[in-house]
Amino acid sequence: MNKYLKVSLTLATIASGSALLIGLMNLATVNPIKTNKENKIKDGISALCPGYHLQSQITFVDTKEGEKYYKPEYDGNKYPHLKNAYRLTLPQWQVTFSTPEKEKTKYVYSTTGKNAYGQVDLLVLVAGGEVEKLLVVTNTESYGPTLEDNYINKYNNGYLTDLADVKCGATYGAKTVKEQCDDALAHWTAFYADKEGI
Amino acid sequence: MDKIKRGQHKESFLNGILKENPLLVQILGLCPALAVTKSLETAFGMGLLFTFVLVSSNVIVSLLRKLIPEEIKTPCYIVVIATFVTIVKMFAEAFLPELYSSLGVFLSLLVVNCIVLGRSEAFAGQNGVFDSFLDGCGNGIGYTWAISLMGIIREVLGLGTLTIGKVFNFFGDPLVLPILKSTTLDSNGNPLYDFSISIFQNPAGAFIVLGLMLATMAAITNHKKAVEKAKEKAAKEAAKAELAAKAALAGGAK
Repeated sequence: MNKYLKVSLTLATIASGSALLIGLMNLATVNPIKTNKENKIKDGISALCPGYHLQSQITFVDTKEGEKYYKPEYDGNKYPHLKNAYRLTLPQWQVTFSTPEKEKTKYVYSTTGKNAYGQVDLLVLVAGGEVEKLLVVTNTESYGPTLEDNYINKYNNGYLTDLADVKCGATYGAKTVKEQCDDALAHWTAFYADKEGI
Repeated sequence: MDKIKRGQHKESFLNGILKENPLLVQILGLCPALAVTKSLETAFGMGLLFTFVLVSSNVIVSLLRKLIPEEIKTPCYIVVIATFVTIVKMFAEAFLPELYSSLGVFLSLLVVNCIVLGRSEAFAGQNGVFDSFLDGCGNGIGYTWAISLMGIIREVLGLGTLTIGKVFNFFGDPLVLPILKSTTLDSNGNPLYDFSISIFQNPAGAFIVLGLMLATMAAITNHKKAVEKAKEKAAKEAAKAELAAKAALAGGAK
């Protein structure tokens, strides 16, 4: 009995110490991590749609701390891969001189997907009912660059015409990318197709 | 492993750096060494984080070695290592986001890294805190210089340039050194010269570089052994000659 008690106590003590250390580190890093993620998404949106203005999806929500964030307009259960949606429009001076094609409002969806090999955070640019471009924000799969080289870059450069799961291997998750894009398109169809006249 | 005796502190530090280098001599920790050595900065960053995890876990394991019951040693070591890996992961995600995204899953995989677990089991679990600290430092530095060298070779041969300040971006724009590839473009938008070999940026290139480094290390070790053997042989022959001369002298005197 004594032996089991000693084993249990040792394990409990070590686990508690670990939890305390991790908790303290979390307190110290939670804000910088949040800022880094936001910056990454902002940079990604600028890279996807240079020249476009970012508008809130519905409303700005002010928290007590004065932080502002976009309140998403989707049902989490219906679109499990969506995290946030951003509406993008051209600034007025550009609209005046641009062709009608360019005036199209664009939507960027911040999406996330997981598979057995890791997590893929992806920005999906939807315009006119089609996925126009994809941008990987984070990819923790065991061999991340393959996903970008063999799938996403090919799609962005027009070598892949649809998001069919062409080459889903053991090392990269084209399947989750496809599901993320499907969710973005489904949301766009449900909420914006009418507004865009499509 | 035998316990470290007095006066052997220096050895417990130096062994890991060269004589028992975890990567080049013991051939351990190959997975991250092949995966994160595309560039010098990523490899160096991995080395630093690895050293922190190794030193911290060695110290804690050594401190707790007499309190942990024999039958739960390994689970306890893994909990300790996992704690430090989580801490390092959070730190990198918060303050070194470029490095964090370059290392990807290999940072989390440090939990099951055979060097970290091996040093905890074989060394820190049986030796004092100071020696375990030195052992962690030595092995960490040894692993860091080995993967950093791999990173330099792969980056220079594969990309043709050496970039400093992209991952550890504290001083503005990164410095790009054009070694095999010019950073100046001609009128067609191509670099003025480009002798880079892209295979060195691929996994196959990592194996080639590692193979060459292991071969060089083996050649140096063999050369040292051969020199020592030759010295021993020369010493033996000199002793024999001395004995023969003494015997001849003694014979002459008779």
